[in-house]
Order: sequence, then C-alpha cells, then structure tokens
Amino acid sequence: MTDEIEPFWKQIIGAVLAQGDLLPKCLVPQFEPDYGTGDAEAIQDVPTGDADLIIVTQSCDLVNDKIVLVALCPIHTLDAFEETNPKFKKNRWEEVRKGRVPGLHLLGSPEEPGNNRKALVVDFGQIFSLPPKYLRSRAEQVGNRWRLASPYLEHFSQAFARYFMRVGLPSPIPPFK
Amino acid sequence: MITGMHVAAHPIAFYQQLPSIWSQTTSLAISEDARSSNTQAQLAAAHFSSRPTLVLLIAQSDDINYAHVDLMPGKTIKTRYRYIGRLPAREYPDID
Repeated sequence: MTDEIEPFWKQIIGAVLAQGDLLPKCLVPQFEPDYGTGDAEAIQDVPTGDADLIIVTQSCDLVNDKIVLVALCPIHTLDAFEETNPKFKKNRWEEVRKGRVPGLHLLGSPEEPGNNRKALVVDFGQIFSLPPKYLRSRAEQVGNRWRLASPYLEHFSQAFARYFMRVGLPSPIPPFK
Repeated sequence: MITGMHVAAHPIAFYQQLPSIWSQTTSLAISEDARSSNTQAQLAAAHFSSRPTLVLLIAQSDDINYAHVDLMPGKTIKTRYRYIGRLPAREYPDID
C-alpha cells in the first residue's frame, strides 16, 4: 500500500447538503411490523437508533429544494460491518473493492486513504429517507464534516445507480469452459 | 412484496409527517443526557401524530423500500420515539 493516494474526501463545514455528504449519528426510526395496528388510542412505540449515513440524493435536487425527503445509506467502518457479518473477515473485501458485490461500495478513509483496513463501506441495501431540515440541523451540529470529492463522488453515485438498476436473469448463458 | 406493488394506506409510511415530527424529536433525542443516562424520559415526554400514506414500492423485489406518491387523510397514530443507541450494520445477504 502507498500513502500517496488522492484524498477521497474534502472537509467542509455548514448546513448546505450535497450528494456524498457523510453525516454521523443521524437518528433513524425503526418501524416494527405491528406499527399502526392495534388500539387506535394507544401510543405506538418506535425504536430510534443512530447511524452514520451518506447522502445519495442528487445535489441539484438538494440545492433547489426539489425534495421533501433526503435519501441516505448507512456507512460503516469495516470492523463495525464485520461485527454483524464475520464472513467478510475472510478476504471478501477484495471482491467488494473490485465492484463484484453490487450492494456494497468501498470508500477510502478520510484520514488514512492509503490504509485499506480504515476504508468505509456503504450498504446500498438500506435506504433511509429523512427530512432535509433535520439533516441541515444535524450538519450544523457536527461542525467539520466530510464530503466525497470528485471523481470518487461520481463513482459512488454510479455504483448506487448500478445497484438499483440491476436485473437478475432467470437463466444465465452457460459458462465457456 | 414486489417492485411496483401499491400498498394502500400502509401505516408504516408516515415519513411525510416527519419534518414536523422530527423537528420536535431531535430537540429531545439529541440530548446527551438522555443518551448517557440511558433514560427515555425525554423521548417519552414527546407524543406525536402520524397518518397513513399511500406508498409505492420502488426497490428491487428483495430490497423493500418505499416512496411516497400521495397522502390520504386517515386515522391518527400517536407515536413515541424510544432511543435504542447505535444501530448495527444489517446482516448482509449471501446472494445479491
């Protein structure tokens, strides 16, 4: 590994949101299957946890206030991801790095881009919608924060699009042997 | 559920209400005191209302998610948010 790697992220400050913004510790409600059922007068309990999220909504939609909800995906350290998914400890990250796991996308560490164990992984399989007002407020609270730099941002956006538009075939063409 | 399935008045999708709900929730939920002492008193003090929403599933068939296409007047659901700490990564499926 070399330390001479172009930085993936740029540090910013302020409430303006853009695609590729990393927002730590955002509150995310976890709805349970029985939400909205039962006694109409009863107070429904919604567990709400915090997660580090990265914005996937297009920047132009955010700037022009075209949306009422912002789409975000969770972003984890490799260690945190491996806690739930120990099978990834067995060198599955190389598959992810090569883009062969469509639901996951690796991003270089903000502070140590040359250290692949410090990379971050985005899970496209979880997409949360949160209000921009809440996220702007959160961005201000965070202070200095990270935003993906070009062309890593476009690469990330393309990976998200590719994940969403993928098509599974009922039968593949048999492999050439 | 499959992509394109229309889920009428599914009560889980009340995100259209979230901006007003959330602005109240965050002022309570962000409190470090509430986190460090693990008390839910501040969250429990907030009761919110939500209503069913018409939703259209837009995710791939095995990745359930939803987008909002319309609002429908409906019953009020009193909701209380309970802070549960850090959310772990989900269990990643064997097949994408």
